[in-house]
Amino acid sequence: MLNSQALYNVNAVCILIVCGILGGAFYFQFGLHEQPCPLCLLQRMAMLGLISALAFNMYFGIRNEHIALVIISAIVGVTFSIRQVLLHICPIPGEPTGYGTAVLGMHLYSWGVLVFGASILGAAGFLLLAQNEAPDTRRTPSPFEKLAFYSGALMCLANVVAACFECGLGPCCENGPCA
Amino acid sequence: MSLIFLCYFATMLCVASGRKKAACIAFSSSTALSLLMFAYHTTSSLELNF
Repeated sequence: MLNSQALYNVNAVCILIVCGILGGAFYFQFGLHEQPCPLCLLQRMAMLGLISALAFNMYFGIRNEHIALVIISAIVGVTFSIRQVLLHICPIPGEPTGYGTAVLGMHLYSWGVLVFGASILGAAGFLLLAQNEAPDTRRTPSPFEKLAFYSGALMCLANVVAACFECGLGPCCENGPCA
Repeated sequence: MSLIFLCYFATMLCVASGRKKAACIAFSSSTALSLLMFAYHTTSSLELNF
């Protein structure tokens, strides 16, 4: 193994941070009863893409191609977030600004831009610090890494169930499945 | 939507079971599907948050 365990622990911490963000989104959905819009669901998908890409590092060793998957997911996610920011960039007089409750003065999609941007920076950091493992590397994650991975998988499964109840298998519209 | 989430879950299952090629296929399909869904929503409605 070319890379230190500390680097793999950082990889697992990144997964846990994204899980925390997705957990926060669930708090808004079930705690504050704010149903996610289609763009919000798409941003959650991109975050699950980040988790999946980081899981590649965990099970197959850190490689440039896995970090490329992180960057792809982050670029896809930031596209969705920027689209939603642009939709709300010009407030309508007399109507509440933005969509949903703001956290520390910023709406969730604005935080999304920061999170995906930070993911791209983090990926650049990994490219600087990590060495490419052999292509056929198959590693056994530590218990901490497994905990992070299972949290991510659980978060993904929870999203499958929540989206299924909200919209079924097809696309989502404002009040549930599209007709 | 849940189909795309399911694709991401399948990616994670493939990664955990060591099937890298299948995981890559599942990952690319889920990313492609989410982009298609984004295109569908942005072109089908001018409503906010779509």
